[in-house]
Amino acid sequence: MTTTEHMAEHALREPWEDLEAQRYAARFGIWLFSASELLFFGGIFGGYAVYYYWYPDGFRVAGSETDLVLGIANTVVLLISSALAMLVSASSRWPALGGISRMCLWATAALGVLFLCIKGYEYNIDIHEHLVPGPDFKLTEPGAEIFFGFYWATTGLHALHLIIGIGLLIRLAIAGHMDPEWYATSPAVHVTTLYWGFVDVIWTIVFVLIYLPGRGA
Amino acid sequence: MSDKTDDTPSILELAKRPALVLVVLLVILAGNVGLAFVPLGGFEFTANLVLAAVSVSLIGFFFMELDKETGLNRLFSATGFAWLIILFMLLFADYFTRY
Repeated sequence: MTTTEHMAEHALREPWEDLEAQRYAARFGIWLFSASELLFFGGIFGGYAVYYYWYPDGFRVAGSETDLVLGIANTVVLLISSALAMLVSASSRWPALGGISRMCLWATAALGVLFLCIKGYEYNIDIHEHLVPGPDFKLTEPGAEIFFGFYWATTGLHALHLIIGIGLLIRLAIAGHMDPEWYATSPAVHVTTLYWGFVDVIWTIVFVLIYLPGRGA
Repeated sequence: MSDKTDDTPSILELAKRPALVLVVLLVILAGNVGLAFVPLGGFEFTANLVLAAVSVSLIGFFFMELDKETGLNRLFSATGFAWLIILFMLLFADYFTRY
């Protein structure tokens, strides 16, 4: 059995009869999944839009209370990690670059963990500054508390998606370690990097909604 | 055992494209943050959203490799946003017309 046939046999899963059909289905599936997840977040974005319309001043006051520096740091971290994921998607096509692909996968996962650390640090600050909706809430403007309801819900959901993404990246890195030539034929790399790109897309929108309102005042 | 053939590109060659897109995205990010501080009478938020839309398009097109996808998959990626627009249209038709 040639190397290519071995790779093909390893990567092929039921019910597909050939790798081309499997790859096509995997790409289609992840885009379908991304579209549905976009709508999942879309509900939150829609709610945010309505409440911003009702309480523009409250949202601006609340938006200026978020930590812009940490928000920018997180955005930069995710953008770099997405660029690395794109690199992995390209380099994984070449079996000779398997080792580098694996390293980049670990690096992308590490950047994801860094994002979570920065987020956790920010959550800590927010809790101490009484920015959690409830009786101790710091701001009195109508709508400010609703803004922070959106903040905790949206960033929490995003963090959950990110944790899943980190798990997928680590799983890919470990699987590649056991069989370095699997990357070139399996659609798993593309699916994972696409999921990671989706997480970045969501954060790009979340960044504008949460960290940028009310800065011009 | 390495399968290195003559046409395996170097990692630096492959990194050029993601690096370029990353630089553009970082510039847009800087512009977005800067724009947020300019008092535009409420329009800075819309401007920020427009820049975010550009960033999302770049991420979708390059990082998520839409440029290499089949027409069907590109349609699906657009469909997600189309449904989002329907959601927003229906929400706004209700809430923005209440008096």
